[in-house]
Amino acid sequence: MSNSSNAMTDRAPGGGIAPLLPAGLFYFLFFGVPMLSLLVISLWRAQGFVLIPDFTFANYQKVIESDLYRGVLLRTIGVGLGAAAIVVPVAFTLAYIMRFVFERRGQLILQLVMLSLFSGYLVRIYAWRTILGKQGLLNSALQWLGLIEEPLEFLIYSQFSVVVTLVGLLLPMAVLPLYSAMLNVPRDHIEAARDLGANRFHLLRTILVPMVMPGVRTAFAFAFLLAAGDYVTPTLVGGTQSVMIGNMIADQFRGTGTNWPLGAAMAFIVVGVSLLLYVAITQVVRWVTRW
Amino acid sequence: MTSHAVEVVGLSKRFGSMTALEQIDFKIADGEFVSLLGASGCGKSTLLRIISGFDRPSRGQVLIYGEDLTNRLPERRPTNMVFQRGALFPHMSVRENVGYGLRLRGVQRAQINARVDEMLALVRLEALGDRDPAQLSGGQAQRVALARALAAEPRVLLLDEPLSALDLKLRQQMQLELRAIQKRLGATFVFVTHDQTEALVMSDRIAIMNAGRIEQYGTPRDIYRRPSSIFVSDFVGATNLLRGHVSGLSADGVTLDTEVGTLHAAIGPGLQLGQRVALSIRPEAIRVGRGAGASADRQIAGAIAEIVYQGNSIRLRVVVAGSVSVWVECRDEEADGLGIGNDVTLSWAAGAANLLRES
Repeated sequence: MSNSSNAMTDRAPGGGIAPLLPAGLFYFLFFGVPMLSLLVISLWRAQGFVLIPDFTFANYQKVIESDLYRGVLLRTIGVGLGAAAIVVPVAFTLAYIMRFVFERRGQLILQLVMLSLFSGYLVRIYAWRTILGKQGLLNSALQWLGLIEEPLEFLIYSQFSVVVTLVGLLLPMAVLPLYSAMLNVPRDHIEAARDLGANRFHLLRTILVPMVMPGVRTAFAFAFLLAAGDYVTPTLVGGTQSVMIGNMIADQFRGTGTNWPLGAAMAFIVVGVSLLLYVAITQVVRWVTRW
Repeated sequence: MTSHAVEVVGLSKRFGSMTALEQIDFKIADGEFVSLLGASGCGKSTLLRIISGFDRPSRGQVLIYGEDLTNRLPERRPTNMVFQRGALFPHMSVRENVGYGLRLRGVQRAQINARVDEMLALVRLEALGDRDPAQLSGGQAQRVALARALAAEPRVLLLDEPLSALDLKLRQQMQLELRAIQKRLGATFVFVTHDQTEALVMSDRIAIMNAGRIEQYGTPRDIYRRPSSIFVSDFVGATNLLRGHVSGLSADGVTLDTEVGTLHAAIGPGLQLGQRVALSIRPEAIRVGRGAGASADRQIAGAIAEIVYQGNSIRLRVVVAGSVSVWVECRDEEADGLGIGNDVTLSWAAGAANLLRES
């Protein structure tokens, strides 16, 4: 309809930038400085184990021109998007149920979700291995039911197992921001929309998603960035074809054949591509839910 | 047969073991402004929610213009609601909020714009169409909420305490404005409130609710002047209740033995000797006479115990028969020269006293 300005960005509280200084300083020291030093290193050269200061884009060129790196990067983005595409809608549904169906008891479910985070990252990955493995829970159950003769091979050490495990890992991370965003949606608004004739689909598209947009953005960022940046999951449950860019970056910083400048360049390419995708996708969601 | 705008038949609602509404029957005529008035927890909001479709009754029916809509979803009912706190969509401008209902129906953009202009003019907010809801004052937000609900052209508009969050001055102004808009549109409004003044000022008829039932349904004047129960007389406005029992019945009236002496009243229906009753007399219906007098049919004697100055009026507490407090409200001049401890005689017109049965 008419131009609706964004309420989030329009309102800037007065008081200048002075109150932001402590946070700004912290951000600079603990994010700015490491990133800058990595950026500087990405422009250097490596000779054996020695770093030679330089100003060259050769590392970037190498990554972009290499079929291997490009292929892995694309696969990584694919896995990240795939995981996010599953995690965000599922987390959204869970958060909705917790907020509007369970109401007060939603807090209890939140505690359970939090509890699952306590069990630790590696433990949860191994847990998925026991479910998806060749002799795992799922294969044994399917065999016992007589639905399959031989264990399903693709369940473990495959792209499938990587995505499933990532989904399991990231779901709680995505539920948290979505649930907290939904707590800010009063039931009155849902009822007002229904009262004016909104069916479930209208409600989702024109009221709920736009009102929890900050939560959707955060959930997507968590899911996509953590999935795309993960390198432990592909190592533990992935197959030979599941190597992700995180594994390749990690390899540049440890063990034999390290190349810090190359690893740094890869890292920055991943950051750049992720940022672009993030902006593009949130714009698409905004556009779709726009009225 | 002309059908009523709203007809509620044998409606009951239970939440678990709690009874929210008990056997409600009432009708609202086309173009009427009806208030549901009661204290919190009396069931007035539940009744409104059942009419809007957000709650289902445990028993009974809701008919709107003759059509049984008891089981129809709220999004498919010809009713619209104005919520207590506006419930404007924060991510839409004022215009988008007002046009939302029409947009859902796929009305042409030009038509929506025309209707939005019309509604914003109706609530006198033409200049604020492009604002965000966060930039509106409380009164403006409620006007937008009203415009949004009316834009969808409801056959019945439901209002759930829409003025309760506003300060007194603004509330009084909005009451008159809301009433004027309703008259101009000739629309049917059902208004929930706990504020008796609000209900008296705005309504064609008021339904007084108590403990899940409608105690009385009538015009503001009926409700105020002829309350049908002790609850109503006490809830709407201030009143004095002189309690006692029927000691004599005759063709020209009832003799009452009360805590302040023997009094007379007009005969009421279904009265029996010995029945426990209360005589309800409004403070402003009592006249104060100077000096001690004799108790008569419609007169009692007492002494002033308290004087409360209210600016436009004065309230006197008069102790009668040693222990019964009777409040009198009079104009400032009428109380000139009266002081605490003075003996006074209180009297009232025959029609000013209502004889009510104790339940």
